Amino acid sequence: MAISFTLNGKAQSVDVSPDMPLLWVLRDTLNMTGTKFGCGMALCGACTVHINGEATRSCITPVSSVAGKKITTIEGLSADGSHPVQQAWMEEDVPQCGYCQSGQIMSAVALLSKKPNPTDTDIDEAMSGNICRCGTYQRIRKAIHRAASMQVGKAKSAA
Amino acid sequence: MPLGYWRSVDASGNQFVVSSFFDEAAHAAGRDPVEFLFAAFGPARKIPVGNGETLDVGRRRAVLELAAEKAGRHKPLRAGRGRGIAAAFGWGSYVAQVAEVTCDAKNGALRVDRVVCAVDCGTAVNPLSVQAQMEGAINFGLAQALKSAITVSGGRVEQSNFHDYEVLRMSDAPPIIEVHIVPSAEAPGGCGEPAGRSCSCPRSWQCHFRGDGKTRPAAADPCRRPAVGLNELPWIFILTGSCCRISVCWREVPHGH
Repeated sequence: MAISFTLNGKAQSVDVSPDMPLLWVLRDTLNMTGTKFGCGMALCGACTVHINGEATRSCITPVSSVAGKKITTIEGLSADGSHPVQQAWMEEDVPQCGYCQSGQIMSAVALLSKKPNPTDTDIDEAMSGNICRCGTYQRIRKAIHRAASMQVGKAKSAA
Repeated sequence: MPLGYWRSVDASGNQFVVSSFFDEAAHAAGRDPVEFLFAAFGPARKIPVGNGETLDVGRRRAVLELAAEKAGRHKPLRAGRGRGIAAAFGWGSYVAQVAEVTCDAKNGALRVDRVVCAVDCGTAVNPLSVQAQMEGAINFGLAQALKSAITVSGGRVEQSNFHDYEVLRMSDAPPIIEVHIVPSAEAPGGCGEPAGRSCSCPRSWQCHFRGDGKTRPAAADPCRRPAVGLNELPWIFILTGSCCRISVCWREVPHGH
């Protein structure tokens, strides 16, 4: 049965078992491997994508539940890594092994869309579902603050 | 039982014992832990430690001094806050770290507020990478100190995923980690594990609360969450502090005393 949704701004239809996790559809059916498999139980955050703007663990999300919804993956943030959060990540040299980072970035983008200038407590709350075994937490925190100030700067210059 | 790999391998466990011992000994002797370590290290000299490695006591003293100084070790901390120090040697590198920890008076929960790390890894080929490795290893070590445990029952590991094998998360990560790299033209040493050694060994870094000075023995199991209650406030055990390998430490003791 074909299931249709919007993926990174484009209409997408897949013919897969409805109980297939969205993560598998992304990685195995659509060959979009930016989103990672970590724990398979929504415990680590590596598979985070946005569903209608909400940070969601795709590993436990049946594809049938996203029919008609808007999905954004790491590939959809920007074509060239120019999203402010990606820029901030580069400037703070956040990643080490990199495996968790697409999930971290997706959670950070979702946080900043709700709270453009988050406090450390906001960051703790929004990001504690994303594990980084390399231990880049301090840099993630800095990068989120940096992205926040970049976005504020952008808004000011646009005004 | 088959053993698997772990960051800094056996050094983590050994260093827990070494640092715990030294800290308790300093405490029992009524000595400042930093001064006690300096005395145990003895004067600057070079000691062959096998496998072609040489322990340069001068370099070791320098990182201890740098970490202690950058941490402002003589500055008093507010009530409920403690400070602990440990020093490490391995893979040609020298590391010393100071942790500042707050213990919640109500529930005994620990929070690591700040970690100051000094590292002499010889020539720092990529200083950014050295800094990142130290930060990561400190967070890795904290996970063991505060949360992670693997237990075996009936020959089987009991944990299966991150719900029962907890690791460090953003809310546990120290707000501040400072890394100070000693300028050096010596041969490059390792960086992933010496700090891993310094940090990944649970609770061998011991933080004394400057309170009534009552001492508590370290728990036998380094992988268990520290049990800290109100009555244990003056003395808590936190992560890390991989010094040299154990035999070197023992050998060092007579030199200083």
